[in-house]
This record gives sequence, structure tokens and C-alpha cells, in this order.
Amino acid sequence: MTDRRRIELEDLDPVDKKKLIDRFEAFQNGVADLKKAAVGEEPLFSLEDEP
Amino acid sequence: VSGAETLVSVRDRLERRELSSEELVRAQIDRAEKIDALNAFITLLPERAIEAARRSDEERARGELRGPLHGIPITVKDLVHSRGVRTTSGSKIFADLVPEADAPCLRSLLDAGAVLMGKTNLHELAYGVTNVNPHYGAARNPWDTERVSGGSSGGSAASLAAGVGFGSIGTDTGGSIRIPSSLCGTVGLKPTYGQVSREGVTPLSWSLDHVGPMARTVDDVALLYEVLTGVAASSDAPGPLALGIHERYFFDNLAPDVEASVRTAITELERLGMKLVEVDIPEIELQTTCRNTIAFSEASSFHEDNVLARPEDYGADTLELLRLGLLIPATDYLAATRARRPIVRAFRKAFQKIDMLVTPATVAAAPRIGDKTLDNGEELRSGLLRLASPFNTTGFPAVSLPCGFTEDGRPIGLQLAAAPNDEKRLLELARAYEQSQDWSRRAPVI
Repeated sequence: MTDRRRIELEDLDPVDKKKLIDRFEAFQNGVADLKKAAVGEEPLFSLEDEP
Repeated sequence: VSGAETLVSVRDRLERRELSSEELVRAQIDRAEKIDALNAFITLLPERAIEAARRSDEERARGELRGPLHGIPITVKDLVHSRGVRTTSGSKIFADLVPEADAPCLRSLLDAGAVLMGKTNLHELAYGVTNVNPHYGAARNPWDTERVSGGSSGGSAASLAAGVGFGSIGTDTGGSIRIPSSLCGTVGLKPTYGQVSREGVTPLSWSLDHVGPMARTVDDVALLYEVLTGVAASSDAPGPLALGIHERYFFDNLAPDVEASVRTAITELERLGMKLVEVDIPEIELQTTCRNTIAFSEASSFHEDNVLARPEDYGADTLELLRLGLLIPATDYLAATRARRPIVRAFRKAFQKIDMLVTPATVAAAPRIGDKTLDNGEELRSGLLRLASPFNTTGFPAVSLPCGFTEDGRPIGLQLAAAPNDEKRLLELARAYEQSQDWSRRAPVI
């Protein structure tokens, strides 16, 4: 998480903050697989970008 | 006019002058008021609709027909901009927005003669699957009012199921046309990405958002789709098509009554001359994180200023998702857009050996308002998105239509998906199935 986002989160209620960080970290679990699949690929924003 | 009337049937009755548009619109407004407890509408437009209906009748008397929807009352989800009519997007953030122009999708329907009778309720900002809206109330399911209508286009599906409006426009970023269609027993088409203009429609996630028609029958959806895109509705029988069955993922952990109904529907499709082909797309496992990363990032980008400045104006579930999206680094967003390419490629490859994919539309029927899980035990949000969202990640077209009921009378939806721009055959297949059954002819007791 970037420092900027951590600073923004400082204002949150501690319970909300913990819930959000837990949810974010759980979500991040799947990102490693995405990154593997992304190797060698260019971004595809939509079907309209396909050759 | 009974709740069982369809867009096509009232079009024919208007043509035969068996009723006037004004009579039709007045009856529909009365019915909308009777179903007020469903909370399907954010804004009803009785005076405007009756005046428009009178004009339609005068034009018809002069032989001036605008198009195939002449004088027919329709609704649109309240994130479709409507000139001079408040468009809230189900939010406090846009509670006072009165657009100066109609969205092109709405303009197409109005130019074809449709009469706008109301703007339907939705999940706040289209960012959810229940349509339990903290600002405008929950849009309730007409088959069981203690249950959700589904979302995010829940007001459109609930009003259609209750016999109000002969068609609607919804939007779909992870299933928001098909999920409420499945839960309310109506028909909803998410067309190929980009086929229907998103201009003038409040975005949730630009690269996943789709605009599409919703109605009570496949023929009605096909007629609306024709008006929206110019692709002529077809009443041809579908050829012998190869239907893909993807057991893993799409048939994992289904509620038993959903699984039974969908497998019976597949048997019926086989009886109609279709050939079943087993398929497996390994990349399907990636699509949930891929779609979520893109959806969360794009939605938070759109709402960033308001989330930081006016957090109290968002509902709790929406705010949490928007804050979550602000935490995602740009590198992860780009990884998702890059991973999207092999996912689409894998779907294209699978569709080289099949014509359509057949799946349940949702893993379970409608949950109760306030439930956190579905009948199959799955977490509600991810469960309802699971089977619909692959076709947002890929942009392939998909339709949900009724294929049965649970023992306690809740509708069950069948999903048919096709390769890009193959909507004509997709609707032909949906129509053939629908006509072999009577599911779409059933209506809830109001």
C-alpha cells in the first residue's frame, strides 16, 4: 500500500480501517497469479482494442 | 391490460386499434402505483407519459408512426440520462442531477415511439448485486417481497416481472442485467461490449460496462435490441448448434434446485437439435481477480474526488468498495488489463469449437433481504457475480432467461453466451428454448 493511501486511511474509524485493510490484503492474494498471466502481454482495455 | 401482456402483444393490439396508447399508459401507471411497495421506481412520470401517449395516439390517427415502439410505455434504469428528468444513479451523490440531454440509448427508444413512464431503482451507483439501496430503499422481488430483486438493475427486473413497463434498459458490469433477470424471472441481454452506446449513462467501470435491453420475453428483448442496434430481430429456428458445457467453475457448488433446472434445460436444448460439447477454459480461474481489479480501480477513479470529499454521502457497502479501489496500485490495474488478453484469447479459442456456452445465470435463486450468503452457502456478492462476470471480462454477449422455479416459487435463470457480435443466433436459441417451455408466461401474484 502506498504511503499516500496509508495517510488517507489514518482518518478512518479504526474498525473500518482494519476491515478495509483485511479486505484489501485478501484481495491481493489473487494478484500474484494475474501478474504471472500478464507476462509477455500488452494491455487489453476492451474488445475494441483487439487487432 | 394484464400483467401477462408483452411488448410484442401490445404493439399488435395498438396496431389493430384495440386500445389506445393513452389507455395503455394509464393502465400501466395505475399498476405501477399498485406495486409501490416493491420500490421498483425512483421516479414515475405519470403526467409526462400520459401527454406523450396522447401525442402518440394523435400521430397514429394521422398515420404517422415513429417506429416499432410507437406509443408503448417503457422504463429505464435511473442511471440512464433523461432530458429534464432527475437521474440519481441510485445515489445521494447525483440526487439533484437533471441532465440536459437524453442518453443515445434512451433517445433510440424514444425515436422509435416509446413512451418513458419511469426511472427504475438500482443498487447505489450500480455498484452491487442486491438493489438494497440505502437512499431509495430496496427494490423487492415480486415473487417474494422479503427477497432481493438482484442488482444492480433490480428495479427494471422487478417492475417487468410485476407487469409494469414493456421493456427497460439496464446496465451490466459484472452481471447487473442478467442477475436481476435471473432472480426475477425475466429476460435480459448483455450485448457484446460497445454495441450499445454508453454515452450519457453514468459509468461504473468503463471497460466492463455494457448497456442492454430487459423485458418479459426473448422476442421483446430482440425487438428492443433491434431498436438499439439496428440488428433485425429474427424468428428463425436456430440451426443445429454446438453448445459448450463447462462443468468446472460454471457447475461448481450450485444450489440443488438451480442445478436440476439447468440440467433439465440442457436436455431440452438437446431435444431441440443442439449438440453438446464439453469445454474447459483454464484461464477462467483468473477472471474474478482480473475483473475485480479492473472494476474496483475504474470505479474508484471515477468517484475519487467525491469519496475523499463526501464519504458520508455514500452507502456503507459502496464506500468500502470505493475505498478498496483507491488502494490498488496502478501496476496491479495494468497487470489486470494485460492478463485480460490471454483470458479473451482462451474464450475465443473455446468458441472455435462451440457456438454457444450454456450455464446457469446465477448459482442460486433470490436470497432474503439482509442475507449474507446464498442457498449454496456462497458469499452473496461473489456468488451472484461468479457465473455472469466472465462475460464482462471478455465482453462476449450473454442472455439470461427463465428455466424453472425453486420449490418455494423463486425463479431460476439460464444463461446462454456467444462469441462477439453473434447476438442474432444467441437470441434465436434463447427464443427456441423459451417457446418450448412456459416459464416466461408465468407471473407473480401481486
